Amino acid sequence: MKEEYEPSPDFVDKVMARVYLLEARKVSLRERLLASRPIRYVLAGGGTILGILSAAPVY
Amino acid sequence: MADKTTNPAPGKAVPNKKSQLREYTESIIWALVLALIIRTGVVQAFKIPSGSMENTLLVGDHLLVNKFVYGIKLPFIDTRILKVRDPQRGDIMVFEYPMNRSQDFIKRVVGVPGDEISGRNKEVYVNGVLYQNPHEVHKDWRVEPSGNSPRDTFGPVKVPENSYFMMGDNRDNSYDSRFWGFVKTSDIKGKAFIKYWSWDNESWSVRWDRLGRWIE
Repeated sequence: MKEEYEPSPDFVDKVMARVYLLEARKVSLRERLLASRPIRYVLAGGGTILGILSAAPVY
Repeated sequence: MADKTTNPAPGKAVPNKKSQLREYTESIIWALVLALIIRTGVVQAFKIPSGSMENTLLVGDHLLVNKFVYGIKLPFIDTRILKVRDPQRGDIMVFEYPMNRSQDFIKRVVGVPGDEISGRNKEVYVNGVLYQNPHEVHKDWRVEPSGNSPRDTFGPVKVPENSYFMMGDNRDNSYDSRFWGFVKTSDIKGKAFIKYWSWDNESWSVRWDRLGRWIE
């Protein structure tokens, strides 16, 4: 093969990155939010704070 | 040339990736455990539905209670660990009401172990000396005779070991140690230290000036 037609060393990585990007766009926003780690942590943290601040009556 | 086998095909499962359900379940369990640990050993929130601690605490105040200053009470066993100090006269404490342990009470410590407490015509004496807390209020000018009620005249009583004599700041409208006796150390839940929320149900508004105030 002629050297000018030889693919660059990261050719496959670049192609796969574009493929993943394309695939990711097919996932719905709701699913992406549900799968998001920061959102899961925020939900868990919010639940923890609500649990701590749920006040019991004291007479 | 790059190794073409290092990139898994899109959609192909990665062996260590947890399922979404499992990740959410773990997050919920961690949140529950963390909330439980904090409520048991660090701070717990309470709200005031009665006026026995007026004007220090008003109906609708929400407050945080320090759960470790008098020692963290371990669940199911009557043991406290990591005590910072003993309750002192003037502290505002949350404790289990000795007559009905499903209810929590909040009052101010007036007598510590060894003290002799008595009341004469609305005045409280500790070890024979007049004790006046700057936060106490009287809202009823009438003096109840001691035969009718221990509200204004009682004692003297000696506070036993590991017990405390508690009184509400609203002296004429508080159901406290004058009526039902001492609070045992094992019934103490913690020391009230800050108001984090205050809702006035009559004017349907927030009492902004009370938020974030220390409880003294």
